[in-house]
Amino acid sequence: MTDPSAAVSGDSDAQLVARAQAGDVRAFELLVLKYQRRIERLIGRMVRDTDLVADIAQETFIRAWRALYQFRGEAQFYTWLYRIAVNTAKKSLGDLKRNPAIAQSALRSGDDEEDAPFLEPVSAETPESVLAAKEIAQAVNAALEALPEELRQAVTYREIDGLSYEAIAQVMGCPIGTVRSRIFRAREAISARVKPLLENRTGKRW
Amino acid sequence: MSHPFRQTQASSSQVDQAELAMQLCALADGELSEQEYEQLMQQLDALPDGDAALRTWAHYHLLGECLRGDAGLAQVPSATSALGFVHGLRERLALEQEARAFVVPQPAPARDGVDPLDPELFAIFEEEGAQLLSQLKGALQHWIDAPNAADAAQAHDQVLSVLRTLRGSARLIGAVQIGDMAEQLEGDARALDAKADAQQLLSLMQRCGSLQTAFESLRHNWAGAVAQDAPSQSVLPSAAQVGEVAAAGAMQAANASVFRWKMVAGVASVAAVAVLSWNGVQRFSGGGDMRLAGGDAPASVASTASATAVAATASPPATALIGSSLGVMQASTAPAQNLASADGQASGPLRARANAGSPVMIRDPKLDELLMRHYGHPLGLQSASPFVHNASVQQPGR
Repeated sequence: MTDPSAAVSGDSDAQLVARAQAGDVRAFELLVLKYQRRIERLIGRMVRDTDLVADIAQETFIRAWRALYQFRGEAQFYTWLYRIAVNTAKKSLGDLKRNPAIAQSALRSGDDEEDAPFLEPVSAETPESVLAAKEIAQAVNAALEALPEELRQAVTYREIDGLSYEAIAQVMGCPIGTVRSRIFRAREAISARVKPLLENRTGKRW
Repeated sequence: MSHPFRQTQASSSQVDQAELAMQLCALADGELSEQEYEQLMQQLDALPDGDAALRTWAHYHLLGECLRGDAGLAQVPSATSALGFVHGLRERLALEQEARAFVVPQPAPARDGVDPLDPELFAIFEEEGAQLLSQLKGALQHWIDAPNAADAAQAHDQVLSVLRTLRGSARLIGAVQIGDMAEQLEGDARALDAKADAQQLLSLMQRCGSLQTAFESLRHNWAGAVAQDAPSQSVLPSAAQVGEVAAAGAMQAANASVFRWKMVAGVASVAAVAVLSWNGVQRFSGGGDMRLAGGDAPASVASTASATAVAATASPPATALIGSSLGVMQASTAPAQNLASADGQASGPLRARANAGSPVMIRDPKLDELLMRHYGHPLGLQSASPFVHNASVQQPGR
């Protein structure tokens, strides 16, 4: 590994984004599934009503789909998506505020602090959700620790250090195919431990 | 290891399913070749339950977030499941695809000085860009005026932050020129430290002005481009759209009622002058007996004034009515029957006042008020031209 910067994996979304830009709806769906939770959490910091959060998230992805041809890959796809989400939420909040029929309870911000939600995000966390998140984190860590060494190393290099398969292969001294297999097996093993917990807590949302 | 494919796809071999899951795993890391991607998509299309693959995909990413310490993401409250969300989105995307088939091309055309912009996002950028440029000027001014190094450093940071946001926002909507200018300015501002001399800061301020000019130019060009494109936006106008266009053509201005009210007041003024003159002529000639159903010309003038008032608030053809009414007024020889018919149409509280020594007069308090405003005193006209008060005046809003 002579050049550390080359070892870090490139944009893992690049392939799907390029496909989606060419009109591949399925590729775009995979991107949606990858970022839906993060986008909903972002919007949830501005809007209290979960139905409204989902609507704004949908609108965000529709706008992203329409504007995808303009994405030039100068920024990360999520950074680009993030800005669309913030702008869409801002616009929706503005439209809601102009509509007196909409209950103020749907909004997180007061009338006099229009930009406040963007400066000081309001957390949607509850004591229960914090506790559940802690349990999940513990289960993931326990599952990671329980993995055979080569699987644990491979998935850690990938998920935490962000190394490319090629770089991991160099570090571990094995073929890329082996790295791919190890990462897959590691994920499956962790998934087997954590999945029941996620299903119990989240009502099988994924 | 339990895997959704193994549970749901009994017909496929376990090896194939594991291979499919491994390819999804590699795709999640951006490590799939183009050929493998094509194969994967074909396999996904062939699956009876494609949702299982999507679920696995979402799960891998969620696990990744948990491994990176963001387990809270699993607790995001959601109105729908991830798959429900995607299904909803899929329907909307299908509609988008259909719409694209009718409206081609989708991107806004590039013109000289106009970047290919996204129409929906441009409105947001227009507002945000103006705010950011204003903040940029303020921050630069603070930098110039900073009394000490700490304030200068703070202003420096703010300048960089605003420029970074402006660059991102501009490029988000495809305003490449603005984005590039902001980036260059950001690079130059970053190269300066907080203790930059006044000359350097003034140069920055000058370039900020150029950025503002470019922004205004973009707004202007965009507005022109949108106006130019407007007729071609509707590729296949529906019958409803055609109806809307026709209705728009017949639509009146929002202030039409105010305009009509002014027209009524003007006509009433003309009528008042005509009546004054007529009364003068009548007095000198010894006339002046005036009855409700009398045959004198003033009564017909009053009736035309009333008719004019009604017509002016009624509909566009009122113009023709007014014209003919004025014609009658000028002729001053219209038959007195007009009075009865006009009074039949007149609305509003009218009160008749009969006097043995003076002609019958039907008063309209609204017209009184109008004349009071117009002439300062309604009595000056009342005695000389009582029939003017027959005119009925409607509220502008009616």
